[in-house]
Amino acid sequence: MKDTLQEFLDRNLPLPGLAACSVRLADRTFVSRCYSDWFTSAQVEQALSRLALAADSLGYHGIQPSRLGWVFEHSRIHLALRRDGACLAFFVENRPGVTNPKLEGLLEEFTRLPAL
Amino acid sequence: MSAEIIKRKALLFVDDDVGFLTSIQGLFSEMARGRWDIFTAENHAQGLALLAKLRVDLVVLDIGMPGMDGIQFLQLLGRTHPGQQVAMLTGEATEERRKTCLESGAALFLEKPVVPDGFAGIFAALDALAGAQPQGGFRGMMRRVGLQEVLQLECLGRKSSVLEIFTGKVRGRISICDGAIVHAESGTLQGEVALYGMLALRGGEFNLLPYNEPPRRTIEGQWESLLMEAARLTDEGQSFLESDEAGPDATEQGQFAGSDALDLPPGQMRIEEIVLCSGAGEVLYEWESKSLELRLRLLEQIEQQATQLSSLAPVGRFDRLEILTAEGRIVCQVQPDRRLFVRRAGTTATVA
Repeated sequence: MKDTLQEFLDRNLPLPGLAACSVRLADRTFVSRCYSDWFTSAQVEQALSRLALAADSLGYHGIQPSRLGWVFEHSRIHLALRRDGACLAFFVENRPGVTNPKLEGLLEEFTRLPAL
Repeated sequence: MSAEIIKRKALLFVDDDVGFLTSIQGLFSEMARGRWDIFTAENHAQGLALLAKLRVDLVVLDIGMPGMDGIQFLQLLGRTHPGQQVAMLTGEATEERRKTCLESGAALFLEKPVVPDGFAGIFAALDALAGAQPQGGFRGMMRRVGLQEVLQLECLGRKSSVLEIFTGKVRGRISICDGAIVHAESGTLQGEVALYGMLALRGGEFNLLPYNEPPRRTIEGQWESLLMEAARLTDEGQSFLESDEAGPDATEQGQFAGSDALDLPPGQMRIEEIVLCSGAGEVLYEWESKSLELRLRLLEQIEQQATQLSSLAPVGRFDRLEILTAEGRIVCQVQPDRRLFVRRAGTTATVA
């Protein structure tokens, strides 16, 4: 249940350059953490709802995404999708020098976590 | 008493059925009453040998021939004797063959008659085609010549002509009137979009035809500006493909250049589809896109979604969306002046 997710987040976060993280579970509840005053929990949760809808809408175009990366001027939003409908978004600062090699591994690990 | 000078027409029939060749030689000679010189060949080799020695007004090809069939021979003639009028005359007509032949440059696709009376109709069609010679001028082949150069020549000379363009997948026309480019069409596209798309083609064939007023003039402006804009857009597409952002290695360029799908080692990717359009959504370049409308709608949808996200959180201006799927990776870039969709197949580790 949510303990698995909490343990996953506690064990791995925060990360350098990570401004916020939000998980939307299959029951439409959120678990969010903000590490910068750039974002509030409400903002990242609203954004994640939009991102999940956008990911769903790709199906109309014959595209079945497993991960998405939205690149904006100030932020990169990494989204991982699980088969049970849960999804995770990392909101990362988009500036030179901010690289996080762990990020990809965490997105991958999230998709393979036992039932959330 | 007036003397009428009749120009004799030279026709070459290529058919592996010797009996058929003998029959039509007798029959058509009689119908032509001395106006036709009829030559025959039983295969492509004999046909080419004859064409090397004499100039004919019309080549008439059978399709079902051993070795090189008529369709292959037609395509070969398109390269070795561009501008040569060719008609197909077959006993095995199908809609698919008709389409292939006409797309490969045949001027006529005729079915061999099953009753003797049918030959009169065939004779009339071949006679008309053999007499329909293009306007005066040289006939020949230009190698390594770009469409831009041909257009420049026509425009500089203030000519009026129609440039017909063929590639394996694209068939289009560019109309030039008194040195001005007035119309372009390619598939369902028309106007500048079609012009830029054709000028971005890496290779193909063209015919320069006498001018016919197009149904509608779709292009205005100076030809110099149009060609410069086409060059700019082509360069832009190239530079994206050559950048690190677009692709990891030179292999992708080879693929873009039109080679067949490559078997790539694990870890490498190949480009399978590209759509480039202007900020207003006009298609500027398209490669291997089987669902262009769907791609345009996708880019528009992504732009709307990105705008919504920008209003929800302080993320700044949108640049691109990278999508990882089981099959590969898709990049959708939305900039004020352009939208780009690139789909690549293969394995990859990361997005964004």
